[in-house]
Amino acid sequence: MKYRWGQTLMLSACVMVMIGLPLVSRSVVSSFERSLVDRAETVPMLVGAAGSRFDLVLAGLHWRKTDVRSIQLGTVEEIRSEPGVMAIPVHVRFEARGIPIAAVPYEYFEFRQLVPRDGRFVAGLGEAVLGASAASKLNVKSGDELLSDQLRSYDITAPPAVKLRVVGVLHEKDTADDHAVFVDLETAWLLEGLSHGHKEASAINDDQLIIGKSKDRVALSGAVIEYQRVDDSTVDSFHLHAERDQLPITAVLVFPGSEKTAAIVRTRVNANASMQALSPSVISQELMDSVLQVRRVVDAISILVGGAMLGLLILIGSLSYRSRSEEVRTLLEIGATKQQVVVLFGIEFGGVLILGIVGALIAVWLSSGESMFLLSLVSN
Amino acid sequence: MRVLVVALMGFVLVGCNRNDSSTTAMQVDEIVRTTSAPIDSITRSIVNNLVPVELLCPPDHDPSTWRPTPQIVSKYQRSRLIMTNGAGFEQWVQTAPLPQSRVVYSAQSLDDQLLIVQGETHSHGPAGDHAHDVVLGQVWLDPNLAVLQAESVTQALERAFSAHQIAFRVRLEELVQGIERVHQQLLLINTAGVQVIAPINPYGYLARRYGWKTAELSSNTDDWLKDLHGIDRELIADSSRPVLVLCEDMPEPRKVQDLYRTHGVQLVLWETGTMNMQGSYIDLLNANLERLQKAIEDISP
Repeated sequence: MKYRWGQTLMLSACVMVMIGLPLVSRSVVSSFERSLVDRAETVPMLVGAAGSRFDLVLAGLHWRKTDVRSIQLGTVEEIRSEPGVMAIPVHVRFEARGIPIAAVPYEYFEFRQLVPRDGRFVAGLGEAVLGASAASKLNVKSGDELLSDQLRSYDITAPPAVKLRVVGVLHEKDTADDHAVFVDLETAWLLEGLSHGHKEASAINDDQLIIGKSKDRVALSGAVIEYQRVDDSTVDSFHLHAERDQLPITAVLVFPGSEKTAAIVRTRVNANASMQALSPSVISQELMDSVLQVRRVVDAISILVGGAMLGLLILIGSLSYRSRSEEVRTLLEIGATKQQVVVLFGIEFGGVLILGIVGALIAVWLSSGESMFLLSLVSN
Repeated sequence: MRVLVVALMGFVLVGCNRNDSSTTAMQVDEIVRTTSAPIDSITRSIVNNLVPVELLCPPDHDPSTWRPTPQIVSKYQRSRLIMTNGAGFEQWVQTAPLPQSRVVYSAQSLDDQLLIVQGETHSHGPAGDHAHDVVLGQVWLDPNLAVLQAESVTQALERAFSAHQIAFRVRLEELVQGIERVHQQLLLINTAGVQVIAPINPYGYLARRYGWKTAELSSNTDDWLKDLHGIDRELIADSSRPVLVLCEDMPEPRKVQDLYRTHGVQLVLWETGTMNMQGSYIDLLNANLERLQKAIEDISP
C-alpha cells in the first residue's frame, strides 16, 4: 500500500465514488426532505397572495426570496377574529449582504423555540437578531451593525438602506432559521420606505427643504434627509406613512384551534381571489415528489457508475495479480503458504476498501447539511 | 491500519456532535404586566392578588411618552398578559415587538367613542399629505368608558387564567358597582350656578360625559395666564357664572391668585392618576368628586 500509494488512492477513490454517490444523493435528499417536510408539518396553514404555491411556501417557511406578491396586514386581524386561531405574519423581501431578512413578530421565536445564545431578542425598531449560520457567514456578532441591501442600487427614489443594530445571535437549530437575519415587522416597513424618521416638519427652517407652509400643514421637499439609522436620539421621530391595515406582509402562518376553524379560515381566505390558503405539508410533499424523481435518475446513474467502477476494480485487481506473479512465486519459494499470500492481497484490497468507505462516509457527512443548498437550487 | 480506525472513530464522534442544537426553552412568566397606573389599578381591582401584577413604568414617568429599555421590553415579551390602556396612549406599545396575542388593548372596543385631536400635517415631495392626528388616550377618566375597559381586562384575564374565572367576575361586579355609584354622584352635582371648563387634553372624555365645556390649554398650568387670553370669550369673560377650570397639578398659590384676578377663574385639582395612583381607581374618582363638590360649594353665591 505504502509502496504503491498512488494506485491505492486511485482505487480508494473508485470505491468511494461507487459507494458514496448513491449514499450522498440519498443523504442530501433526505436532509432536504427533513428540512422541507418537517418544517412544513409544524405549520397547519399558510396564507398569502394568489400565485405560485411553491414560491409562497419557500418564502413563508424557508425565507427564500421569491416573486410572491404582498398581502395586507389587515388580513391577520381578519384571521385572528376567528376564535382560537393564532396567526403569525411574516415579511420576506429584503436582504443584508445576501442573507434574507425575515421580519417576524415575537411569537415566531416562541413558536420555533429560537433562543439567543448571545445577546437578546429584538426589542425595538432597527434591531436585528441573526441565525447562527448567518452570523458566522457575515462574521457579525452582538453589538455590530449590518447594512441592509438596497433594492435597486441606481434608483434614487428607492428607499435607502438601513443600518441594523445586531443585538443577538440565535442558537443553531439546523433549520432555515439559522440562515436568516431576523427583524421586527416595524423594521421591515422601515426598509420598505413606508416608515421613516426625519426632523420634525415644523422644526425645519431651511427654505430649500420646505415647499409650502401654513398654520397646520407643512409640505416638505423630497430632499429632506431621512435617518438611516435608528438610535435613542432618532427613534421617536420615526413614523408610518400608511394605514396599518394596508401595510405589506408576505405570508401568515395560521394555527387554527380545530378542523372546523381551519375550514372556516380557509374558505374565507380562498373566497378572496387575490389570496390563497394552503397546507404547507401538502405543497412540500409535491415539491419532494419532483425532487424524488431527480433522485431516481441519480440512483440509476449510480448503478451504472457503480457497475463500471466494479468492473474497473476487478480488471485492475486481476492485472495487478498478473503483474505481481513473480512476487507471489518468490513468496511461495521462500516458504510462504498460499493462505498467507491470499491474506497479504486481502490486506491490501481491504485497506483500499476501508479508505473508500471512510471517504464515502465523510462525503455523506459533509452533504447531510446541504439541504439549504438544494433548497436554494429549487427556489431559483 | 491503526490510523484508519482512529480516523473512523473520530469521524463518528464528530458526526454525533454536529447537529447538537440543545437550547434553553423559551418560558412565559405567569404574571400580568401593565403599562400605566390607571390600567394597573383596574387590573389589580379585578385580580385581587390571585395572579401577580406588575407595573413596569416608573412612577415618575409619563406612560404616554415613556420609552422602556430593551431589558424592560424583554420582560413585557415574557409576560402571560400585557395590559395596556390602548387608544394609542402608550406610544411605545404601537411599535414595540410585543407578542400581540398576549397584548390586551383595554380601549379596543371603544373605537367609535375615541376623541381625535388634529395634529401637524406634512407631506414629502410628490407624496400625499400625512397627518399626525392624536387620539386622546385618557379614556379611563370617563367612568363609563372605564367600565368597558374593566370588562375587556376581565375577559382577557378569564381566558388566560380560567381557574379564577368566577373570582374575576365577582370582583368586576364590585368594581362596576363602585364606579357606578361615583358616576351617579357626578351626575347629581349641581353645576347650574357655575361654569366648569376642562382642558380637552386630558379631560376630553370626562367633559363629554358630564357636559362640561372644553378648552385647549397647555399641559403646563404656568402657561395658562397666556393661554386663557386666547380662549373664546364666550367661555369665560361673558359668563355670568363663576368659572371653575380643572387642572392636573395645582400651580403655586400666587399663580392661582393671578388667574382669579385676571380672568376670574378658579382652579380645581382633578387628578388623572396617569403617572401615579394613590389607592384604587374608585378612591381616585371619589377624591376628585369631593374636590369638585367642595369647590362648587365655596364658589356658589
